[in-house]
Amino acid sequence: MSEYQKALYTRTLFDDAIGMKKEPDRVPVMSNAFTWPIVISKYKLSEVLRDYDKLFEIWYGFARDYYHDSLFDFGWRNPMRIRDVLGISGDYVFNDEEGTINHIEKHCLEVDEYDEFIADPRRFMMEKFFPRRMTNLAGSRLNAKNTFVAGMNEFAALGQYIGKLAGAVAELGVLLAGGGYLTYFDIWIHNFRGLKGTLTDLRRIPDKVQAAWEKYAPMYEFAAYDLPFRYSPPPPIPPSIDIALPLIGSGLLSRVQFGRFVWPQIKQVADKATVDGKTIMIFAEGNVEHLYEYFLQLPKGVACIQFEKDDIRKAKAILGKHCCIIGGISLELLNSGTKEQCIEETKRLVDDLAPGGGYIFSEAAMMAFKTDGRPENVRAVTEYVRMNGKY
Amino acid sequence: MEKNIEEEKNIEEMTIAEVFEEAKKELNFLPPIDDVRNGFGEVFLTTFTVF
Repeated sequence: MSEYQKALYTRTLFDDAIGMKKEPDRVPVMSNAFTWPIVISKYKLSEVLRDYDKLFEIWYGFARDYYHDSLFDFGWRNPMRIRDVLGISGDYVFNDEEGTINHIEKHCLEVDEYDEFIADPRRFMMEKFFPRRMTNLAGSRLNAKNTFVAGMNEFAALGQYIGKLAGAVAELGVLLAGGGYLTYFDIWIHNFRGLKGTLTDLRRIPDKVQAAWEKYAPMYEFAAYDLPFRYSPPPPIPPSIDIALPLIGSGLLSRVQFGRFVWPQIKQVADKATVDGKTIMIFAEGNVEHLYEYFLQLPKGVACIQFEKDDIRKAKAILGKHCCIIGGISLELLNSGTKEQCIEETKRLVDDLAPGGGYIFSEAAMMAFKTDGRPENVRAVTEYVRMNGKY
Repeated sequence: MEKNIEEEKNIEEMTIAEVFEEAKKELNFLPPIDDVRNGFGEVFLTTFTVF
């Protein structure tokens, strides 16, 4: 098979699992590795995330040496070179000894600035938010222009790296996951108000938060959905899933808060994706069992949901006729168990979750640290599913 | 030198949105679409916000 035929075959595995009209040829395997392949390598984390040659070496090696059908992260999550030139600094603290990145919250909107934001969001973003968030844009207009040019050129360099990696791993039959799309809630936590500030605002000034997000929506929707998924030409190598939608903080919200502040945006994106023929992977951090009633409102066959802390068999029983389920093997077992124990658990997961389709095997949580799995165990379980997950 | 001073002066009189439109002339890379209806700088800085 040619590189493109291999890519199409793998894409079909994911489309069949998510579309739920037929069982795929076999259970697809999605990687949940983020910085793990880097921190178990000979390189420093802070070094690799700024060096596309080393990043390529790491992720190509990971695709070659394990049996995943798709990589979810492959260096896009922490694009340090873009952050560096724009001056998005101070909120990531690297510890190369431990192989960790600590995130420090940064507020770019004060609570008494909501009215100003709502009155003219475009002006606020241009004049206040961007220079606060991307500090190298502050100062003279000439400085802003030069910083923007540098940022765009680094954005292009990231795109070139992704294109090169996509082509190389496609020859192995491995696809990259598609572009990311965040909820306003998570954007608010990450960029505008921090976790504590956002949760406090939702309780104290919910109408203002909602008004701010409604004003922000047209700017964000064009940049984050319309431009990449509607107006840009499709990439030469298809992604495994088109849109990656992390739900980072939603597990902290009550069912009612989620229904008011987050769900309408997800439903809207899912409806747009249905019209556009795109698939969505919802990456649910924490436990989201209290939100299942909303997931049942997703259009059937457009989304798959990665569960981190939920009982995945219960999730499949409740949601399994409606959307595809991703996950399964615990990081604790991958790190502490024997190869045989890991394979036994993988067999149980496949036996319980694969029948009828709508299941994608994956590590149960984001693999970021050295202790998130032993390489021989990760290789054994992914190989088991590749060889034995046939329908 | 004289040209640089002139360029700096003109840029400093622009709105920030105009500055980002001006920046397009210096890019090695442009998105493969014509329609960036919300303004070039706004769209891509919003994209960078997720990083």
